Amino acid sequence: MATISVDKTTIEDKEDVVEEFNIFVSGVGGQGALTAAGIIARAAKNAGHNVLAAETHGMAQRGGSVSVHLRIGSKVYAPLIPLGRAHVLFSLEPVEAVRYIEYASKDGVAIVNTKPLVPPSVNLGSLSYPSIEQIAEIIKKFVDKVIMIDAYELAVEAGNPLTNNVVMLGAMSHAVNLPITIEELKKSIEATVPEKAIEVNMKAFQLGYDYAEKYMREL
Amino acid sequence: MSLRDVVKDNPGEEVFLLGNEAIARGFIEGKLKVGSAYPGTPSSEITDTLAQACGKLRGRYDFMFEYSTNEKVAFEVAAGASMAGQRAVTIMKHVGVNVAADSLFSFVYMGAKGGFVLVSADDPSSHSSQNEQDNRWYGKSAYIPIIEPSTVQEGYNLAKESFEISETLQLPVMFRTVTRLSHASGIIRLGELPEETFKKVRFDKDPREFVLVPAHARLGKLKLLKKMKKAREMAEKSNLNFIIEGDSKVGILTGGAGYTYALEAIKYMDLDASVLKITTMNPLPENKMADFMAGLDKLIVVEELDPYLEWHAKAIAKDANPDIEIHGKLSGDFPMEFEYTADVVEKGIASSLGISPKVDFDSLLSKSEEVKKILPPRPPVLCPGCPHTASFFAIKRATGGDAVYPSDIGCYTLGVNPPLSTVDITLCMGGGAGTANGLSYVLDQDIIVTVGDSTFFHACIPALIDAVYNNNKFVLVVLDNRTTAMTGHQPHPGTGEKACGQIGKFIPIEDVVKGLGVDFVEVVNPYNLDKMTEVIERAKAHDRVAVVVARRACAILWNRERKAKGIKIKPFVVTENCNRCLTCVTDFTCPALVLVGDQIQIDESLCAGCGVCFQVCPSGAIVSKATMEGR
Repeated sequence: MATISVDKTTIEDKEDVVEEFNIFVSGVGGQGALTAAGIIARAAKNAGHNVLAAETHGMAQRGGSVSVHLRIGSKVYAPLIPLGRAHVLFSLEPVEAVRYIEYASKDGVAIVNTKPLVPPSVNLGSLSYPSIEQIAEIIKKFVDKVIMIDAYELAVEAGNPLTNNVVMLGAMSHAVNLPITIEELKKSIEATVPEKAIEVNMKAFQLGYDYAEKYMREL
Repeated sequence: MSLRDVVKDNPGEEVFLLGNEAIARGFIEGKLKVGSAYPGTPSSEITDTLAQACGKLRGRYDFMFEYSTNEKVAFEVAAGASMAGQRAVTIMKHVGVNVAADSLFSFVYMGAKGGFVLVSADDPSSHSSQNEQDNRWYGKSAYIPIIEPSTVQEGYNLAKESFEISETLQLPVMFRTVTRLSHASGIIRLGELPEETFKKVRFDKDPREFVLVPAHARLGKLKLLKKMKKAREMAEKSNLNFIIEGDSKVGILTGGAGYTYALEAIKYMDLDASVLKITTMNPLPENKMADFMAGLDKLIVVEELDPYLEWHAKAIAKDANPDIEIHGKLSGDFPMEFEYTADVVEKGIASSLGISPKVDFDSLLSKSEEVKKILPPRPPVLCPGCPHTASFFAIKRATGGDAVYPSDIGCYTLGVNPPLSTVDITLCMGGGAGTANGLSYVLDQDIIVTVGDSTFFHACIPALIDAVYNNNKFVLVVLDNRTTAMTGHQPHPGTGEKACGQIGKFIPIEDVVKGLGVDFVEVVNPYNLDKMTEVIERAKAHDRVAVVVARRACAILWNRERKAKGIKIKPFVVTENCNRCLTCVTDFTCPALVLVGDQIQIDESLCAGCGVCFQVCPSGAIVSKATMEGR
């Protein structure tokens, strides 16, 4: 295809070995999904890649479903990931992984936190919260490689439950062949979190990494 | 993605910005002097960024920025600055342009002295809007040139150049963006951060330009037509409209967000179609379009919302290439409604070419729809501690649910959902009180209108005057949460704070209402359910329009304030006195109240400590944790 740099105002093709790498991040407002996406985006940019991101705004406040389309590479043009073309489905909440399952690529990887956050709609009683086993079964129908991880428990072990997003990043850095190095990801975490929280976040990252290593060995 | 990057003084540096932040930076580099806005998603981050940058850059680069009462006023603020030869930008969401339209349609007759840019942020798929109107039509009906970027970098570039385009044409210019561009983040390369102090000027009087009496208006129209002719010539020559040469008899005509999806489809489908990308949506480069179509057998039009380019292409093809096949929305290959996504465009192009898309999107979607049936929904809800929940609960209690509840635009629109169910009508800004006037003539029921504080100032006041003047009877409850909450907590006249942080004049809503001649005006804290209910009951019994100001700060602001002051939130808990009547979740609702098995629990990490559920519980089973622990 012709280069898309006919005009100064349009997309410039960068010298970028990665043409397209898509990560779909989902979760519940307040869980740190936006922060996780920001960490990956910053790392990718610092690694010299072109980066595009699209997040859900609008009426969703704390407690609502949150999603971020993250696209890395020289041949990405639109901010939204096409259906079935997310290399990674990264979900901080089990039900929120299924909610966006159509974005996952069959030969991609799903990394899913097993800690459920029950929505208030369950209070009114029309639908119950599905079991984690049921959710894992569904995801496996759409994605070949699925990693279920209790990121909440590992985050508590690291010293702060709020680091569950960084636990997941650690797991992803082992389980996925990312266009970003582990060092770049760690640097981006350091630049994003408050200084006093760097240590606990590094621990959380390592716990996630180790978990994925063990999980993959056992597969 | 931060203000720090937006105000960086490091030309050439690449920064990762939200589309709206990049657009704001473009306007700063383009040297805006006056900015004005009424907040509205998806435009809000442009205005938030300019408001913050205006304080941050003071002394280095000075410009004025204000939150205006509504979009019409915002438009006129910018128009005034332009009339005095200064560069001005006014920012609003798509439906805001309707509010400003009266000023817009005549301001074009005057033309712009200083560069004038109207940002219209459209919302295909109505992500956070009451409709998905396509504002490109304003270009045709109001005779205003329109430019529309497709990418974050282009948004930044065009914002920067827009003042110059306006000054060259001596016309106001519309800058159209859509949700997916405004809320996408990408990398832009920074230009020069300007350095300039603010200088006041003298007004150059010219009644033939600025006083639109009929004789001047007729001259204005002639001048406008001449300017639009020049705009058309510019559009023909501009490299903002460009062709990517392909190697087949198929061409794609596209613009805006559609352009990026078209590029994705070309990549995945391995097509060698030529692409004509349109940036000047009005006037269109008709000759360029004609030349493009002349050599083609088939034209595929990729654009969101209305078949705007498609209709024009059809008209142009009549002379340029009558045999060309044109595929788009009118041919049924692409949908008329909602925003495009990569799969929608891939499917539309495949259908136009008579082939199948590489991925079977339909079966993927139906397969995923099937498994999603078991998922509990997670719709947006009113926050824990939201004073609107308390207000709606009290309104329902005072009316027994037997009343009609017109409402308005804001977080409180969520009162439509059960179990609150106290929003029956939401039309547009100020539409609640407006329709209540008409309803009051024909209904034999009580009418309780709700409106937010910012919306009250925006468009509710004329409707309230109408009620006072005509003796129309209803209750207006102003949900005064001390901010414009839904769009990200912007200040307004009822807070007395100005956009760039300085103190303005605080205008109490109850004073305005009294001044309008309303003789029942009460201010009440909605957290006090009994009091709030009693006031609504009395307001209902009043024989004319009655106004209740339910005043309590937005829970998000309250949480922020407590955090800043180091005050710990005191959560409430459910004791063993709970008899599982479930009133707190079936009549009342709060995200912090969760049903675990058949037991109600309060999620302490979510509880705002407002104590409203404590008042709702019939068996006194909800208490403050501090009380229970004997503190």
